[in-house]
Amino acid sequence: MKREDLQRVAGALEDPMRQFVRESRVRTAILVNRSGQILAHHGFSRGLDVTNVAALSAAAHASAHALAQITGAGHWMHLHHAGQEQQLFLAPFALRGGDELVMVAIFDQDSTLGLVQLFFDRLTEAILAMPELGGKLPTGDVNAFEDDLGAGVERALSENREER
Amino acid sequence: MPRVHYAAREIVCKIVYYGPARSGKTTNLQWLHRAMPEDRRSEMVSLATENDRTLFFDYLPLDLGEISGFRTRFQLYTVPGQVYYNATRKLVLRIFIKNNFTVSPQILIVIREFSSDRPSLKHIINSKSVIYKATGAYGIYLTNIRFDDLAMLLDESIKDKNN
Repeated sequence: MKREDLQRVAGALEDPMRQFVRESRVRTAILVNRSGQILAHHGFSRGLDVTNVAALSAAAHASAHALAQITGAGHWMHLHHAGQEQQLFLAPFALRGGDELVMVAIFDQDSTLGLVQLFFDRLTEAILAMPELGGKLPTGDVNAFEDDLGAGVERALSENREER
Repeated sequence: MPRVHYAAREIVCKIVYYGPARSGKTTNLQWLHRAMPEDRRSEMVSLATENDRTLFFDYLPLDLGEISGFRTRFQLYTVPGQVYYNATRKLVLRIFIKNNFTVSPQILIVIREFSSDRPSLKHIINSKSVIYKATGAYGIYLTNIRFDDLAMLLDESIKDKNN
């Protein structure tokens, strides 16, 4: 996804993401595409390396997808890990054009898995209804691939600085 | 260094392709996959982006027949090359190096020269420290791995260009 496309898509995702974080009471929510490019990021993320979280989430999605295909388990729905203090929720959802996005939500005792799932479903409905995300997402040029990935991180970090 | 299972009478070799982005790591694996007879290879698993850049790793298992009654199995892996995927590259290397206390994987450094602003090929090859630094930067030190376990692969196009 090119820098100018990222601005358009990220702008459209801003409000639904803000609402998701507020209602589900997660600490941080990051929406990434299959390449690990950050499309939207909202919440408290000090001390969190969002680049690594995004890249590893995309890798986890790719692994879970391949595992599901190899074993014939079909489409994977979500991964959840409950740590002692923080919990991690990872879930993919398909756009109408066939692309997939991955939601990474980090939450603590202020929220629950059920609450996160409920509002995640509402978020996907809201995103699928958006005209900006109705078709296939534009794909970046291979030569500019790293720059495109970096654009997502730059945007997420600048937003985070503004919020502080 | 391969792992030998005497009970199962098999020899397992792990080879990890390591190198900068677009140096031909995945391409090399794909070529091997195509070149191998179907009964010697399994499905190649490639966890890649929509641009076909390696996102996590590529995996190609090969069965290369018997040596003195031992079945030989090769497991070939690549790591992602892009700087953005440092975390996943580190993870792949850590899995292969730290989880193999008894055996080190062979690490194959894949290099291809693209432009003059990169270090020259000669410089990279002559400098062992580059490899030590590259792996050390990801928290993986090669103290348990002999330098002999590292090998270089030069892309054919470079040889042509230099010749």
